[in-house]
Amino acid sequence: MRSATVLSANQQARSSRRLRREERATYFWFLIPSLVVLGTLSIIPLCTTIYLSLQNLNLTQPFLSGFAGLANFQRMAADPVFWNSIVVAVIFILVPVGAQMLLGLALALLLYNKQPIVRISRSLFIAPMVIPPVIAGLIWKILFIPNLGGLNFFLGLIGIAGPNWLETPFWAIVSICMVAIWENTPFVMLLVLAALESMPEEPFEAARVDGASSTQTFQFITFPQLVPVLLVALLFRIIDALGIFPVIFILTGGGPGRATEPLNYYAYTTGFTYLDIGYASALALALFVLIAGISVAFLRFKLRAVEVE
Amino acid sequence: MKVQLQSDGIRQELGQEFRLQPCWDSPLWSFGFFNRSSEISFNSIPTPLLADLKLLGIIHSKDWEEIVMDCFLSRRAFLRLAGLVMISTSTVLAAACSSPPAAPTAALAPTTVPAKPTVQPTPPPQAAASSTAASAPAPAATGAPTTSAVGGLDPQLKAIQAAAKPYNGATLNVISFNFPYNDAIKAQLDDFKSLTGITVKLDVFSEADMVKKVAVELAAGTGAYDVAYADGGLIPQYAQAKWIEPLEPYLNNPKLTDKDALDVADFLQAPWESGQWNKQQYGLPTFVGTQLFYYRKDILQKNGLNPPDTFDDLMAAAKKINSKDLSAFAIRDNRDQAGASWPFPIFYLGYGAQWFKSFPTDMHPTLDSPEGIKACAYWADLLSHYGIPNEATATFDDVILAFTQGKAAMAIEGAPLAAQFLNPAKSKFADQTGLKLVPKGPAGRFPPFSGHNWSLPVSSKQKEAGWLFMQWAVSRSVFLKGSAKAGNVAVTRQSVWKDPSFVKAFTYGGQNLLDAFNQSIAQANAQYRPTIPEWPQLGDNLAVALNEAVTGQKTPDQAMHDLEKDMTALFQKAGYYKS
Repeated sequence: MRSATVLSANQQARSSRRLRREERATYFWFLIPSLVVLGTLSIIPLCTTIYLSLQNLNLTQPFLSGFAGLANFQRMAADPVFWNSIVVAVIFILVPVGAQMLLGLALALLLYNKQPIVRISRSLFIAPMVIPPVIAGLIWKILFIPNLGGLNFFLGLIGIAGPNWLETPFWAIVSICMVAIWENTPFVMLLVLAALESMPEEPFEAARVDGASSTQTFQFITFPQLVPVLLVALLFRIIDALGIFPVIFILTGGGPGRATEPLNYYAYTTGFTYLDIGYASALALALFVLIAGISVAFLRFKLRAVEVE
Repeated sequence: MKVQLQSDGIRQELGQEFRLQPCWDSPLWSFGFFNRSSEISFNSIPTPLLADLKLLGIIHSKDWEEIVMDCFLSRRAFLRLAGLVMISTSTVLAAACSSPPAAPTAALAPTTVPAKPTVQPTPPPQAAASSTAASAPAPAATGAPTTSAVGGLDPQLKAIQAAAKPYNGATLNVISFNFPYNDAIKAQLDDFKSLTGITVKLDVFSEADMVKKVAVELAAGTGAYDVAYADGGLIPQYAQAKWIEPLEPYLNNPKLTDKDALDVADFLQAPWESGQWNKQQYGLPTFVGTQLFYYRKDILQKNGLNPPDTFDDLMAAAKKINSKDLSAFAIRDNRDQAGASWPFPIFYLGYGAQWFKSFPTDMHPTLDSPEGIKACAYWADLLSHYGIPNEATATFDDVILAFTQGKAAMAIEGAPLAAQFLNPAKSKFADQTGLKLVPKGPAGRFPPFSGHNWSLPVSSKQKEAGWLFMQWAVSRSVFLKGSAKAGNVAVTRQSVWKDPSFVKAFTYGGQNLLDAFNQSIAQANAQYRPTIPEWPQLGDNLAVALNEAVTGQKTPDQAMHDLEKDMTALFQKAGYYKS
């Protein structure tokens, strides 16, 4: 039994007012599932972490538990390991993310091409992003073994004596940055490719007519249109880079010494190996503040940058 | 399609210009829901045309109300309904997922085992599934238990069976990790069920994961596990946190324990002590780990060297053997308390250093004593100059890999891992591999020692049944059968070590692994690593200090001083002393 209704203009006006109220009710009902998930997985643990960071809680020393006020934060401020972990975290943000942006942009420009071979290569380039980070860590661990691994073998074929990856602080940081870059460049590349594909044709035609060289085309037409996308990619990469864990866990375990121990890894060891939950919560809060601060500053900058255009 | 218009002529008149479309042909199909007046309908008829039609008097407004949407569910109502369904399913799922999880690993399904008694303690090495070998076993050496007559049960198992009568039908949750002893137990859970009627669900993880999971579960006190596996050196931590029960009440309860049958004196000394804290027994020992010194006989012969027995010999041999293609030495050095901190005390204690001024009365650490610094310097020198290139992150996997691939001439690694070194299928140089005890220093020989235990969580709701499982899992026949089935060599009962079938199974091509293993354990000291609750922190920080010394980030002096400072503060905070 199907039929169609046809409404008068008056009826339409009346029902659209009613609709707005009912629509709002519908929207509310629809938000409930995501609010529930967000609440249980994000808000509640955050509040619990704040509460725990104000406590003295070591699971193996129950006799020491009690309210500690800001003692955990004072301890954090005086802890050289904490400051070292901040430095390491900043290194792991600056170096890999910078390289990822440059490489991702370059790769996207390279692969922005309609030829079939290029389209196939695109899928291959995306592969590192798809592999779970733990697997990537295990693959690279084998590659990094100095005398038995693949990397030094191939370098030896070209005649370069490969260094002892992972064995000295400098090379360990370089190795982890390499793995992070390998893993995440496809993400940036995808975003930039999508932006390139959606750019309007007319400015390019105009540029060709005006006789602009390819560098000038890139500088004045392509790049300004890519800036919003690049900023989004940058924000995502920065937030993600602070959460670099599986690769470090597999490859170096924070070593040698404490050279590759960023803040989240330090919080993990404190909480799960030493079972010092109070202090670990304080460290986790510090990480949260760091991420939130970076994101807020970044979004402000992004809004300004986009406005200026 | 029900359309009521004043006359049919309209359709004919307008012809192709408009068509009343049924409600679900439009892209946003919608149904009606008894609620005509609030319908929003797609409108395939443009409004101006409608107005024209009205103006023309072709369609009266009255008629419009006759044209009803006969479908019964409006779009909005449908979406509302879908939203409610989603919410309810998600809440149901959330409730289901938050209930205590059933054991994830597939425990052996309780098959109906024929009601035969379990085998005698000496099964033939080719034993398939539970055979009822009726042959009277040869009398073992002194101290051997009275082996039962043909068709009877071993007295230990008999005692457990008698005590388990009230607990028939219980189900236990047990957690363990993935290694040969666990395989041995898993393969015999059916036997346990037929012996006592108790079903056991075994959760198996990797070692590091198991330690963390046990800590979390015991701290939360959920009662998720009835018997928990305590890894090496962790009994003090669990005992102090009051997560596990002292076992004296169970040991002294004649209804649960037949002390003669349990035969506590049969356990090796150091493993038995590893289950104690504050002079109370908290665990039953399951596994004893130690390390041996492996070496390549051909390389040592080529260089005219004897297998080194002292630290100086070792350093001299390493200097001579080390070359670009062949590292002299391989040992764990990764930054974990199960990494560098596991073999390091060989040298630390061997040079005469102590962990504390006077354990347990004066707990000030003495990590930066001259002997301690000497040990650290020796370690840094040996590893950085003569060790495998990836020393700083080497785990036991890397050590085995380097040695079996011929990239290292000497190694110190776990004794239970000897199978990897001596098995021709796994090692290219198996026939050239020799083994002996770890080298000794000026203060003596301190072979590594690690004892694992079964422990009884306070939060368990089936402690008595759990206690019976613990007894069964460390009984003589279970160890023997496990060795035959799963190649588990690191057992904790002396009678098993002396059993002929056990000896025969673990003699690889002339090498008497068991001799070396046994001697190593006999000389082992339960205080090889300090049995304090703060061991994980001490071990981790010690490994970091060693790492830094090996990679040259700090001098050995500096590394040990910093470590001493940190550990003094840590122990002060833990309340061992005031200043």
